[in-house]
Amino acid sequence: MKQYVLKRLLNIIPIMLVVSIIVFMFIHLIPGDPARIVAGQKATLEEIEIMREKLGLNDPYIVQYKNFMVGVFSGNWGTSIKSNLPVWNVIVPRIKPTLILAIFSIIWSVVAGISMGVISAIKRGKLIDYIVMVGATSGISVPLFWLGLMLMQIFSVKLGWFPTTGVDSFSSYVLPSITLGAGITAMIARYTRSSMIEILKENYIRTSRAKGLHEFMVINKHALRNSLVDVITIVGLQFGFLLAGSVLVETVFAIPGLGRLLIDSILFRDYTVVQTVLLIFTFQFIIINLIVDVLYGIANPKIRYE
Amino acid sequence: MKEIQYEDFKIESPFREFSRKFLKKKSAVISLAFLVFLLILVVFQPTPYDISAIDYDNILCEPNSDHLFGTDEYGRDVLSRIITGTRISLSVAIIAVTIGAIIGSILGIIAGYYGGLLESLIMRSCDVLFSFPGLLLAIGIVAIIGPGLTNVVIAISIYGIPTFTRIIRSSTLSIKELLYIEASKSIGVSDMRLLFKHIFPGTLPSLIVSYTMRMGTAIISAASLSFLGFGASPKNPDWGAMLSTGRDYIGVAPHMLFYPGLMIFLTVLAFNLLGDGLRDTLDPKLD
Amino acid sequence: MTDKLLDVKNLKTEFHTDKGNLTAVNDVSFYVNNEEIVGLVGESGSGKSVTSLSLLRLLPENGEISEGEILLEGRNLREMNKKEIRSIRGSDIAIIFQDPMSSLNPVLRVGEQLMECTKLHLKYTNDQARKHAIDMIKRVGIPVPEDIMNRYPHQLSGGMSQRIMIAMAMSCNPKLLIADEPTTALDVTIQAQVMELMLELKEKNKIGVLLITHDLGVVAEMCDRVMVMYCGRIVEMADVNSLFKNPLHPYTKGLIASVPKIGRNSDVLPYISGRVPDLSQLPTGCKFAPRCSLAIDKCHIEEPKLIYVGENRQCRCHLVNERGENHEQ
Repeated sequence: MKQYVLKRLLNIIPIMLVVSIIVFMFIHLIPGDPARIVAGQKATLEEIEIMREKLGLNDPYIVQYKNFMVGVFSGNWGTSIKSNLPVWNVIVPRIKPTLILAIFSIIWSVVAGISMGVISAIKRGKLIDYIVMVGATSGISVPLFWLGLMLMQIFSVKLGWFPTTGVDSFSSYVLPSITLGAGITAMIARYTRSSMIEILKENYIRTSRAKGLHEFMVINKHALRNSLVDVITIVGLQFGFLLAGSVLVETVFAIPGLGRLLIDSILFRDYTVVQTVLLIFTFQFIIINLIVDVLYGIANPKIRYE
Repeated sequence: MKEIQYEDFKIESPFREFSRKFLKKKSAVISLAFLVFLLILVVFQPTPYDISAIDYDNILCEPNSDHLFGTDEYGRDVLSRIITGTRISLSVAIIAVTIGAIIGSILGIIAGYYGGLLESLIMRSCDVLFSFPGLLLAIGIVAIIGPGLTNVVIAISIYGIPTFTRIIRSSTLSIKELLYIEASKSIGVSDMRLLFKHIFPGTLPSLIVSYTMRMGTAIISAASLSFLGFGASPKNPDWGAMLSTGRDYIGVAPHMLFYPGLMIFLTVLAFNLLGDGLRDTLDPKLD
Repeated sequence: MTDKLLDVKNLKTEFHTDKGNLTAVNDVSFYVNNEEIVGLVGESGSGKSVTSLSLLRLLPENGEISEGEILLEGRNLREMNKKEIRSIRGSDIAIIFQDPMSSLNPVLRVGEQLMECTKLHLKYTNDQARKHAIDMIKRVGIPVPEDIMNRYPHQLSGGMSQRIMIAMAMSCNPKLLIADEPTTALDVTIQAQVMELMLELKEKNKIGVLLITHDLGVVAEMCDRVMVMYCGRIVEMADVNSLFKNPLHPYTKGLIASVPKIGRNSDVLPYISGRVPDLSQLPTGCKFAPRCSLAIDKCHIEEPKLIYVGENRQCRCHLVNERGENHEQ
């Protein structure tokens, strides 16, 4: 187990390194002179030169990268081009709404997705299986932002049950979490179903039935535990979907989160903020996947006892 | 010995077996029919109105007998714009997925067939691309190269490459293991011939299934980018751009939101159901 | 005959597939007495395992018992409701499967899986069940049972897994043990040990055993009576001595001849040509006729009946029937 975790850790370090280099290069990859971009369209040549010096753009890349990474880990993320505030101050207040949204979404979609998948697998070929699978395939096919807009139209505009936008209260998060979780629920349901169907064919399931166990125990004790080992991995992957989805959902519901900040910053060419948000998103995703890998190892005795 | 005459097992031709199994999947057949219908729309563009004809007398009309899907903020016919939009949305998706599939498959076959350092290099690059979660990779690329339809195509192509590389690599690996490759290798067939004659056809089932599935993803991605303001300009009747405009009229003219979104949903659903059907019929070992 | 522990009458099991209904077991009747080991022999695909699964109604979803009776001490298992059949499974009839490694749940500890049975049927408490499980592990000859209890299946060898499966099967003192190819997946040396263990347990617990195997060596050593199956039908039934001394059905003869014998001076091992036909493409007459070197025209047209050809001896063959048709009962 220790070896397994160590191996995973060693695996992600080069990836994080390369990702951070790509994100660092971001400001250099944009067509045009970064100093001019940062200084603004109306800046004089002199101002641009001062900006170039200030940003350290005259240093060799390796020094710039070192400074960038030191900055990332010490919380010195540079200055926002748009607001002239430290990027830290721009980003930190945006974390909470995104985090709440993500947690709500993942909780309901894991619970709903696994239950739907299990029911569908047990009732394979029956009407309920058909309904769940049509629902799940629709769930992965529906454009998130459209689903959000439709829910808003029905429940906020017409029925007035929830606020249309903003994050004033708990109820503001209901529709966004439903929207964001829909696709993930669908993915988890599909995956759980196919994993359960495979597992129900296993010999040990036959053994547990031959013991005289009630079907409820066969499913929930013997089959589901094995299936969860597989499902954990897919849940990890869904976090990526969640992060990207938050960009859309936050736009639809005007939630002042990180996703919305990313889009606004791109549209405003506030590249220092874009850089940092991208780095936060990718590192977060890599670390979540590491955690998921470790959880998988814990859930799977074959890895735990090696 | 009389066993021969009793043991003539009937063997179907692969194509007949495929169509027999495929025709049983009703949802996949219906999806295919719907996609063919879209293709007809793309080719003939049977729009009832001129898509840019501005009609200030009929602004934001509810759907009625003249305008089945209503009109937009300039009084333009929503149905006509959706039909024209089919061409844009489908061509963006097809071009992007094809580019991604070609590059991804080549990399995947190379990685799977040659192995070694080359494989590690290719697969680690994929890992790096995969660590930009979901659509974020496409958003990041658009942020660098700027908005616009062409750039959306480029971003979505790159976004699709690692998916194809992984799938094609794993199916190349499993085909490589198969005996017939071993056999033909020992006769002294050149690498190129082996790749094109044996390995590439073997990866086709996986390729077809992931291509179909990827079409759905590409359409949603393109629409999402347009919705966020990175894609087609609102002047174009692109489905995503129409939604982006329609958002300002939520509560006033919900039909401007409903119909373009429904089109995206149905098209993506059709690709996904078709993909599911093809996967069940072709049964490639996808992982 | 009240001493019959298990009495199966005209069992017919079908599978509903996209090729239509396939009959995997057709008109199979047999019985198992107390303290008796009955062998069920045949090539793979002959319907042996389906027969064993049918007895406990453990068939996959597309399988169905369409005809027949399965009487355990006079009670018909086929007519029981789900709750009743569950109370039979694992307590009155226990079953050991072919592949022990995959028959244990990989994510549950061995102890947990062993204790399940007694907790369920004998209403043991955790402590009682644990004690009993440890006891059972000792009885199947594994040292350090406490250590084994805490292990996961992948930490056991094949032989150990099968011993655990046997311990699990025996833990509620069943009346009938069904062993479906219990040694096929094991090394030869382990095979003998497992067989020895089963004989011992049968003697001690005075149970009936239905032993399903394709290994005639095992049959000769262990069984009292033998049934030979082909294409879902019983083609011959006899006590073990008569069967080996004087096999009647050409298929049985072929099976016995194809067992390699030490000291036989021959370069070629006799074998039965051809293979078991697909269930969807069965021949019309005798199912074995296409592979039978003695087949006459009648064999290809009309399927022979299973008839008595002596006391407690049955055979399904036109050639044999013509010689001994007076024995029909």
